[in-house]
Amino acid sequence: MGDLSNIFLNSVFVGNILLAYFLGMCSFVAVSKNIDTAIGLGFAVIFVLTITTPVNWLIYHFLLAPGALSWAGFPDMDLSYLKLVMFIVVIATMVQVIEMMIDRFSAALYSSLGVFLPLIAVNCAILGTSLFMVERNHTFLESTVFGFGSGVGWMLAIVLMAAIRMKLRYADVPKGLEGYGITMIVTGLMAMAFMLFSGITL
Amino acid sequence: MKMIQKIFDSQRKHFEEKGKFRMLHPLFEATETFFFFPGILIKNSPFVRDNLDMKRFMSFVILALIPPSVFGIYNTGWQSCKATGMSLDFSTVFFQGALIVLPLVMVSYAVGFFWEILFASLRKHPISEGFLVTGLLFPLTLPPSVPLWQAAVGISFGVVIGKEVFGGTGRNIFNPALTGRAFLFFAYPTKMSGDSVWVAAGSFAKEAVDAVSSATPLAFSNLAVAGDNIESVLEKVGFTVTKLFLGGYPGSIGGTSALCCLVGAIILVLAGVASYRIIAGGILGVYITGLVLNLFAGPQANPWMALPPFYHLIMGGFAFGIAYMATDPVSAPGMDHVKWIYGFAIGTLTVLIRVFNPAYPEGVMMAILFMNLFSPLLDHIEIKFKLKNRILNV
Amino acid sequence: MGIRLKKLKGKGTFQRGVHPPGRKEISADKKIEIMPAPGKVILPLLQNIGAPCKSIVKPKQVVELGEKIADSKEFISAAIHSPISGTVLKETTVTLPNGRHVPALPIRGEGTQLDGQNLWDRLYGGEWPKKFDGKFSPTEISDKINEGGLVGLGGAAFPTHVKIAPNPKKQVDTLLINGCECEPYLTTDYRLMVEASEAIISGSILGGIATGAKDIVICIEDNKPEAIQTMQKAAEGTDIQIAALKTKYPQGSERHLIKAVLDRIMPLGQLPADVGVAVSNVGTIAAAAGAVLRDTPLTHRVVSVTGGGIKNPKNLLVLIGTPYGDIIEYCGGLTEDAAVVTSGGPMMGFAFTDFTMPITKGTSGITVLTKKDTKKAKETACIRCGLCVDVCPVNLIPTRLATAARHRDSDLAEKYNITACMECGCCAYTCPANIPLVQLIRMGKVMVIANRKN
Repeated sequence: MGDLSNIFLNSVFVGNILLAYFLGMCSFVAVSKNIDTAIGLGFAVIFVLTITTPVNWLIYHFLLAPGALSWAGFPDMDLSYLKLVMFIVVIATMVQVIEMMIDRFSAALYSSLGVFLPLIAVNCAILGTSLFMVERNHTFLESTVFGFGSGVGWMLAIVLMAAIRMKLRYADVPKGLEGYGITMIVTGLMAMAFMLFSGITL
Repeated sequence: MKMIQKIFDSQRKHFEEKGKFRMLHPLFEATETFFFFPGILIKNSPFVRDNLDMKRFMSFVILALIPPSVFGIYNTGWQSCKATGMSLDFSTVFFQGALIVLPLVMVSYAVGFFWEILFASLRKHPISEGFLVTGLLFPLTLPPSVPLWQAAVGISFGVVIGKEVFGGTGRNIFNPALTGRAFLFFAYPTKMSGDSVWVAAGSFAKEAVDAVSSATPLAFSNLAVAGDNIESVLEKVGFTVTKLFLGGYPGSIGGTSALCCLVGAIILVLAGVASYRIIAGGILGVYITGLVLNLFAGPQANPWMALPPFYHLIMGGFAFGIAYMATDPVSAPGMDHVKWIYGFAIGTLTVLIRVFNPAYPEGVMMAILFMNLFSPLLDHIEIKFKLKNRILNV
Repeated sequence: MGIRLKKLKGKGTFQRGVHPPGRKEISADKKIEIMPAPGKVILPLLQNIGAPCKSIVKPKQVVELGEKIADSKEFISAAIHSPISGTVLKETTVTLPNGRHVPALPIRGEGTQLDGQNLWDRLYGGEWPKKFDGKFSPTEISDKINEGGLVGLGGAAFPTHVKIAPNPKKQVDTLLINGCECEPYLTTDYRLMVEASEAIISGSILGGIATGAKDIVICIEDNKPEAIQTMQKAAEGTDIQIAALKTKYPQGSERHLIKAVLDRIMPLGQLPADVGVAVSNVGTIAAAAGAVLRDTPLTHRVVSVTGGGIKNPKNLLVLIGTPYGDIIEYCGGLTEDAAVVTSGGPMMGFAFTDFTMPITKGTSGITVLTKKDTKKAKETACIRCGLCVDVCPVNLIPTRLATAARHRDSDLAEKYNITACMECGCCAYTCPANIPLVQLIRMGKVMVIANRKN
């Protein structure tokens, strides 16, 4: 239990997928203008991450990893070079499912997320989490918690960013920096503030 | 005074719309308001205004910063004289301290003003009194041994990236002084942390500094191993509760004396400049977190766990941070209720960082910076709640 | 002076608000003087909230004091009566201090006018009964008030017969007589309470009969101990209670008065009757007593002429329609350092420069501020100190409203309830950055309302 909560806290704060690894920046910068949209996208990312990470764990450990196919009689098979392709396929499928669900249950959110919803499929945070999960040798349960935690961390970052951008809405930002420029600077400062946790060993 | 007024009146034309120095109009204006109270007549209701205007507002902050600054000068001098074996009489100590601290303050003001004036001229916004505060706060958070050029880099980063890119005073997200301080901390860690930076040896006595005598109480506390008792470790090297409260130990220039910060905090709260909610929230945060950690303390556990909570209040920079940095109205939340949460979280994070993150012995700076991030969100939540639950009136 | 609220639920104060320097001492001890009738009065045909009146007299017609000269068929409106005996001149247009252009009837005074002590005796002096024993029915009272053209004399100028009337749908249980006068400088209501307490008591009882209110409370801020004592004495032998409230601006606002005295919350967009309360100003209720018992319409009112910029500050009983210039001249004129002349007090009043304009029924005073009083620093950037939020009596976020208005963001302004603002000026009073919050919010309101219509 202690391990799991450590992994969770670690993925939300210490190794925040966005502010420590800078993954998933495109939708972070683009969809953080409004808090409500940011919360919606945040939940979508949490959902996708919590499902794809364990699914990818299963696929990796029962199909792709060196020796994973021993249950099917191929103990020497190493398909791990396929993991990138397989992970993306799983993610894309999941995103399709979510898109249909959001369209069905919240038309307003669907229209405000616009093109960024399908783009979750290529959100580096999602793929990155699956790859980290492999690299860090997480167990199935750990990878679920890790996926969920990464999603929560990403959502925290984008919601904070949205609140900050709402505060900055009428700030007098120099011409060249308006929009994405100031967003990137704020992201940098946010990352600096999140370094509060770096060095904590859980 | 008449003569000065005349000079201003005769020179004004050069700085107006078509004059040759119109770029420097903000500078002219700032200089003029420094000498004279600007007499603009109110054209719209209400026709009477409260006396607390921006100048007075900032003057109160400066006034509140005087006790820690003066004590900072003295303490820096004392530590330096002691480390280098100079005499410890008052005037020598004070002179030595001034020799170390004043250049830092001057560099901070000069470089900061350069950027402020540059941006004000180019972007045509008035020079804000707010800078007077940032320019003094920043050097007070530094270790006394920091090289002057690093202070210049730090204040540049703080003023430009921390404030001016957002459009100047009032628009920034993070406290500019803290942004500069944090930048230095990550950019030049060897000069900003460790055991050897907290005492400036002075320019004319370059003997090696005795590392032990220059470590901060927080650093000493980290030396304690499981089973040790931090209080007794501190006591052994002379850091009694009274000493910790009064200051007089190595540390950042302005942050050692909890007493001076308390005086400053009282001035700020009475003048209506700082929110007592943030300060009280912060103290509660430290205390409650400390007590909760005490519950988990045991002979095998981290010795920090067993430390009585009030030690956290008087050690290190917490008092300085919560009194001057956390209450900066621009980067703190504006709504009343979330100010408690904001302060409380700063206190809690400070203690947690001290206990669990040995990499940063001084957590309060990062804790405030981290909570600055949350203040727009906290405001948003409270406003949302308020709009939802409001019976539209009283 | 403690808070004396015997049976009442309220705490005697409300949350937030500000304490501007009262400066009432300038004119507080000046007895009400009766100003002689000017040569000419100008009567704007819109002196109340609601529908404007139409003239019912012809040019060159000779009118008597108290004769009705303009009326309207609308319910929310109040008739206008001549305050002078004389000849009606040609209709003109005047610009009132609040910036509205309205048609007006000038009347030239002719012959001898009712003046001095005689006028005072007719309006406020003499005996005022405290018992009526069913002499007047509720509708009779409100009809007489309507006939007298009464409006709220506190400043808002809402037609009184609408408020002081039987209301079968919304039962009123309490009548609050508002003698707070929270606006700095002004002493109009204070002098009336001290000098015409009998008329106020009589009017309050009549108001109680008309509204069917069981409780009548006269509310006075505790910085006017003399008024409290006089009113207590005058109220002896009746059921009227006197409530001493804590001095705070804007205590005189209906909403805050109801909260402070009765602890009832009056939501936005509702009237006091919705929470079972009727509120009336002391000056109005004294005039109501006159209208009912002596058939004197509203032709005169008391104004404070005060502030550091006037030579002889006074409290004056003047004819409605007297030009501001005449009044200021009567008080010795302006001093050299006079900077701003406002109609009303310094917090909510309007500055004006055209002294030929007339005072109206809603003019509670003329405040002349000196340069020293009204000096301020330049506007600087908002530093989010939150002081405006701390003082806003209607619980808004003025700085955000102002930002939304400045950037013409109608949706945001609407979201933050900009229309709930009552423009009391607390936020602008307290703002250290001297941001013209009230002006910006006023502008924002216009914008939001225009947007709603689209």
